[in-house]
Amino acid sequence: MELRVGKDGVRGKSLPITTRSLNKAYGAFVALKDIDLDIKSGEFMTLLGPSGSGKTTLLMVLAGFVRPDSGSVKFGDEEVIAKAPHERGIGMMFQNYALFPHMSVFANIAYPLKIRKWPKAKIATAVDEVLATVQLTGYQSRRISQLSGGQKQRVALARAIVFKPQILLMDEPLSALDKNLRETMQVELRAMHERLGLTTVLVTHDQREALTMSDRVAVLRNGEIAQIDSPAALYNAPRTAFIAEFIGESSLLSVSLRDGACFYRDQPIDVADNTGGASGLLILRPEKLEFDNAQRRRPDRNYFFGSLERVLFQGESSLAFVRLAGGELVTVRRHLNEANHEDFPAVGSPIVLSLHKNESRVVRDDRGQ
Amino acid sequence: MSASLTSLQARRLNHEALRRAARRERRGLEALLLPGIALLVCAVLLPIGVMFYLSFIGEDGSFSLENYLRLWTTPVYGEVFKITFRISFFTTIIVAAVGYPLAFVLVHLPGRLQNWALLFVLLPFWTPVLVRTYAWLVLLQDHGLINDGLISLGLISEPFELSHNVTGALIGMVQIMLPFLVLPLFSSMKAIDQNLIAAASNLGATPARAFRDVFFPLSLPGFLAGILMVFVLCLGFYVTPAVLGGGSVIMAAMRIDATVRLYTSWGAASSLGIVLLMITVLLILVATYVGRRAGQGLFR
Amino acid sequence: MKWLFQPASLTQVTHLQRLWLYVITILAMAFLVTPTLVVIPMSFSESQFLEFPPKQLSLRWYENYFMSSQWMQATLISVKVAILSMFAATIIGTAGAYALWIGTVRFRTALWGLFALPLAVPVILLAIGSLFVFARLGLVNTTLGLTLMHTAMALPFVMIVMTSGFASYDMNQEQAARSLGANRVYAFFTVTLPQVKFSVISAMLFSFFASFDEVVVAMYISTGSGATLNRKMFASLRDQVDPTIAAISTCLVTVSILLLLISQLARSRRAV
Repeated sequence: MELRVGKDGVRGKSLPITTRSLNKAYGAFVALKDIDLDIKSGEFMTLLGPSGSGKTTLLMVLAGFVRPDSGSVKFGDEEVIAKAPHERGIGMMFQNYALFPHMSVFANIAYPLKIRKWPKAKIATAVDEVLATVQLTGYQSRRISQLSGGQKQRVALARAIVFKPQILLMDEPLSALDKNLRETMQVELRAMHERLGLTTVLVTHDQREALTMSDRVAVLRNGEIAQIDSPAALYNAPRTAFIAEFIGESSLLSVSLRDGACFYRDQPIDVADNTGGASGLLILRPEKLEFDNAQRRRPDRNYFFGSLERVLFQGESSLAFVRLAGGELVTVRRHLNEANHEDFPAVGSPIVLSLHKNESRVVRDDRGQ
Repeated sequence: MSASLTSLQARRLNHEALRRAARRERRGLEALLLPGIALLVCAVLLPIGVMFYLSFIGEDGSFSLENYLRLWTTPVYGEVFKITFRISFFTTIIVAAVGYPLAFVLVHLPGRLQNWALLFVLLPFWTPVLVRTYAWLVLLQDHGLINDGLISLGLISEPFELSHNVTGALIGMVQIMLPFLVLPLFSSMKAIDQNLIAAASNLGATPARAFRDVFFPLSLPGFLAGILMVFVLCLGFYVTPAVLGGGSVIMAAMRIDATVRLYTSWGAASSLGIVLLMITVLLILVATYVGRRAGQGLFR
Repeated sequence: MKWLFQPASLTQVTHLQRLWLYVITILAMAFLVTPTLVVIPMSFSESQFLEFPPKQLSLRWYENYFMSSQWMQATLISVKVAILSMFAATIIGTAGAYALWIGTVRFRTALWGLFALPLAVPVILLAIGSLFVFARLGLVNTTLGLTLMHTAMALPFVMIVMTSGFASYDMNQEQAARSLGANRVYAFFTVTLPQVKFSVISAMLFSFFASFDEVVVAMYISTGSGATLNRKMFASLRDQVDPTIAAISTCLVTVSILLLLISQLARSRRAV
C-alpha cells in the first residue's frame, strides 16, 4: 500500500523501530547506555529528558548522524546501524527548521524528490499535494525568509514527509516558536500524525509537549531510559522520585516503612503502591491535595497538618503553600469558581490537607544520582 | 555471572562494523586534505628542509656548524638582526597607534558612510605592494614630489632625506601594514555588543572608564592578533625596505638575498634564513600561548 | 556645526569630544590612499622626469607599456599564474577547510599549523629553497613551478576565509539535506556551497591577488622570458625610475578601484 498525502489521505505504511544495546561514550561521558527501545509501527514516541540525558544523541543515532560505539537499530526487520543517513529514508524535522534559505519553498520540498529522480510532473503534483496537507497552498514560489515561524514549521514538515518516509524524526521542532503558536502546532502535528500514521519519534525537554502529543513517552536520564509509559501512566504512576519531579509538579514527603506499614513521622499512611523500600518518598501532586476539615475524617483519605504560609493567585487557580508539621513545604492547587473564590483562611492559620489513598504512592528516592 | 556475560556481549554488538564505518568516513574526510598536504610538503616543507640541510654544509661540502658559528661571531649579522627587529618594532608601534583609533572611528560610523570610509582602507589593501612602494619612491626621493613641492614653496632650500634611509622604509612599511591591522581589528570591534557599553555606563562608568573596562578588553584579542601578524610580516619583509631603504637599511631578508645573489653562499644564506624562521615561529608560539593565558584571565 | 554637540555614542560623548579621533582618522585615510592615487597623474606626464602636476600631457608611457612585447608577455604570465593559483588554492583550501571544520580527522591542530605555515615562513626563505628544489625538478621558469608556489602561499588566506564562512553557516542544513536522501558530496554542492558562496568569491579574490602581488619568489624562479609583471617592474624600479611603471601602476590601480566599486555596489544592492 502506498501512502498518499492529501486531504483524503489514507493511513500509510510505517515501520516499527527496535534498538538493542545502544552504547555511546564521548571520552569519559556516557551519552547512551545499553538502550533497548521498541517503538511500534505507527506509534508516536517522545524522548524526554533534561539536557545531557542522551535524548538528542539517541535521535541522532536513529537518523544516522551519530555513530554509536555498539548496538543495533532495526527499521522493521532491516538492520540499519551501518547505513549512512541518506540511505535510511527517514523524514526529519530539525531545531530551527533547517530550511534551505537559498531555495524557494517549492525547491525545498522538491529537493528529496529530485534526488530520488522523480519525473518533473510528478514532483509538481506531489509538492502541491503536500502543501495542501500543511495548508500552505499557493506558497510554492515564496522565499524562506518571507515565511513566518509557523509557516516555516509547516514547510519543514512538508519537506520531511513529501518523499513518503515510513518513519518521522523530530528534534525539538517547536522550540523556536512562541508559546501560543507552539500549542497550536502541537495539536496540528498530533492530528497530522493520526492522519498519516507514520512511526514518529519526537525529542523534547518540554514535559507538557511530551504529555500532549505522545502515545508513549520515554524519559531519559544519564543515558538510560528511566521510565517508558503512556503519558497518563507516567503522570499518575511515576516509578521514581526523579520522574515525579520531572513530569508535572509535586512535593515529596519522606516516609518510612515499619512492620509493613508506612509512616509519615509517627502518623500511619495508607498507600496504594510502595516501590520505595524502607525509606521512600510520598508523592503529593498539588491538584490532588484537598483542603479538608479535621472534624469529618473520611476513611479513604490520608490527612496532613500544617499552617498556611502564602497564597499565589494564578488566574484560573490559586497556589497555596502549606508548611507541614515536619517542616516540609507543600504546594496545593485550588481551582477557582464562584463558590470558593475568596475563602482562603488567613495566612498563618492551621490547615488540614487530605489525599486519597489510591493517589498515595511511595517511590524510591533517586534524585541525587 | 551469565547476566554480566550477556551485557559484555551486548557491548560488542555491531562494534566492529561501526568501527569500520567510522574509519571509512574519517578516511574520506582525510582524503580531502591530501592535495593540500602534498602541495605544502612540495612547495613549503621541502624547500625549508633543503635550506635546513644546506645550513649545516660548510665551504668544503661536508657537515659543519661553521655557518651558525659565523652568525654568532660576525658582528655584521648581529647588526642585521638588530636592525630587522628595530624597524619591525617601530613599524608595528606606529601601525598600532594609528590603526586602533582608525578602526574605532570606522566602527562607529553610520552604515553608508562606513562603507565608503572602509574603501580608504580597502583600496590600498588591494593595490599591489610594488605599486605602492613605487608611489612612495616617487613621493619621497630627493627630487620627489614632497621635496620639490617644499622647495618651490620656499619652505626649505635643501631636500629632506626621506628615502634611501630608515625614514623612507618606515613610512612605506607603515602604509603597507596598516590595512593588515585595521581590517581584522575592525571586524572584531564590530562584533562587540554596544549594549555592554550602555550597561557599563548605566552602572556608573564614565565614557572613558566604560571604554577602558569594557570596549578595550573585548577588542584586545583582535588587536593583539593584528599586531602579531604585522610584526611577523615585517620580520620577513623584503620589497619595500629594499626599495625605500635603498641599500642603507639592510634587513634580514635583504641580507639573505644578497648572500645568495652576490656571494652565492648558500650555506650562509640558509643559516640566516633558518634562524629568522625559528625566531618567527617561536614568536608566534609564545604569543599564542600568552594570548590564550591572558584571554582566560580576561574572561574569568 | 550643530552635529559637533550631538552625542556620538550611547554614552553621550559628543562629536566635539571625539574630534581629535576624527582628525587622526582623516590624516590616516589620506596617508593610506595618497600614494595609490598620486601615480595616476604622473603616468600621463610627457616628461622623462618626475613632475607634479605634469606640465604636458601625453600617453607615451602607456604606449611604451602596451606596445612592448616584453611587458605584454610578462603581464600575460602574471595573469595566467594568478588565475591558475586562484582556482587551485580555492579548491584545495576549501576542501581542507571543510575537512578540518567537520573535525573528525586525526592530527587536527598539527594540520592547521601546516596549512597556516606559509604565512609564517619568510618569503625569501621559500624563494631560495624553491629555487634549489625546482632546479632539480626542472620547474624553474615554468608556469607550473610558479603556480605551485603561489598556490601554497595563498592557502592560509583561503583556509581562514572559508573557515569563517563555515563558522557562520548552520551545519544542520547539511544534515537536513542528508536526511532527505542526499549523500555528503551532493549535500555539499547543493546546500552548503551556495550558502558560503560569498566566502568562496572572497577566497578567490584573495588568492588571485596574493599571486599577482607576489614578487620575491617570482624574482628567484621566473627569469628572462618567463618573468612575471611584478618581477619585471621590480627590476626596473631598482635600476632607474621609469615612468612606464607609473602607467602600469595606474592600470593596476584602476582594476582595483573597479573591483572595489563593484563589490561596494553589490553590497549596497544586497542590503536593500
